[in-house]
Amino acid sequence: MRTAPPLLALGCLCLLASPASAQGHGGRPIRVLGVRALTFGSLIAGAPSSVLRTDPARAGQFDLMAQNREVVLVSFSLPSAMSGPAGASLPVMFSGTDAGFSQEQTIGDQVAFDPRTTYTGTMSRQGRASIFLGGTAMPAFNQPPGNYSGTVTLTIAYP
Amino acid sequence: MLLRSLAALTMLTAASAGSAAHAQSSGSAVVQLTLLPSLTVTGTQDLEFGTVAGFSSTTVLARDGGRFTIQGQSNAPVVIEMTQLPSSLAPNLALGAWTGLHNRSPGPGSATAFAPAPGAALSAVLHNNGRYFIWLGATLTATGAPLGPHSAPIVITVGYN
Repeated sequence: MRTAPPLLALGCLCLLASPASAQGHGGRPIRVLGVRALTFGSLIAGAPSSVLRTDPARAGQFDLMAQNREVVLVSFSLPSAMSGPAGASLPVMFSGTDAGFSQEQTIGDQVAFDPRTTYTGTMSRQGRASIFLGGTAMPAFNQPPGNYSGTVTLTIAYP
Repeated sequence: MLLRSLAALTMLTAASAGSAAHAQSSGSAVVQLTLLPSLTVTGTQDLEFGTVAGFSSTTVLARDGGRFTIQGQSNAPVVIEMTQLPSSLAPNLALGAWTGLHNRSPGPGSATAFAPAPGAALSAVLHNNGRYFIWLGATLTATGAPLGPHSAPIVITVGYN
């Protein structure tokens, strides 16, 4: 019977800690939505091709939602290659300015950043932002033809 | 009492974990491309004039002339350039009045005529089996040409458009 009060007290601390964390950011869920694929289109073997993060049709796009004006940490999980037919892989590369953060969610108003490292951005007054992504695909001369794809995952978190 | 407290602790811990999940979120997007097969152009039949007299003019129609077979991505638009059409096979053995046919099918019967010229380009869409065909004809004019066999390469270049 004497062990019950300490356990109950510990439970209460957990309950208090949880809302405190949510209240610090207004309680709004933080969300990432993959809006558009990074699309290289049709390539030929041996000819590398790049997509700029400012390309309105081919750049990848993620929309973010978080607390108004809140600072968020943005990090990518980037593939080093795309998978293709019969297990073939096609290298894809991301350089230091291949990602862009836009508070206004417009492709023409981006702040470039390195998608290989964590970026600190500030959400808009409405708690919105978008991230655009470009990259370079590098098919080998003997690359098997076919469709290739990979997955880019974007994670945002409050600091 | 102890059991009731343990149950409460478990529930509260779960609530805490759910809240923490809201402080981070992930989303995914696809990276994608289509790698086209290499384009190949093969000369599958020579433009052959046979034996001609030293002073003569011989015409080979395109449908009977040299044939090129192109192979690439099905239904892909391509540009076909007449990179090199020789103007002679030897001194006093002029080659000219080029004629051409192009077709998605291997037969010239339903092919479309075109006028080949050095450096000129032709737009086409490959067949759904990835193939395309070009025929070339010309007129050979001999004006005291040297005896013997004579030949010159015809070169066409094809690229995805």
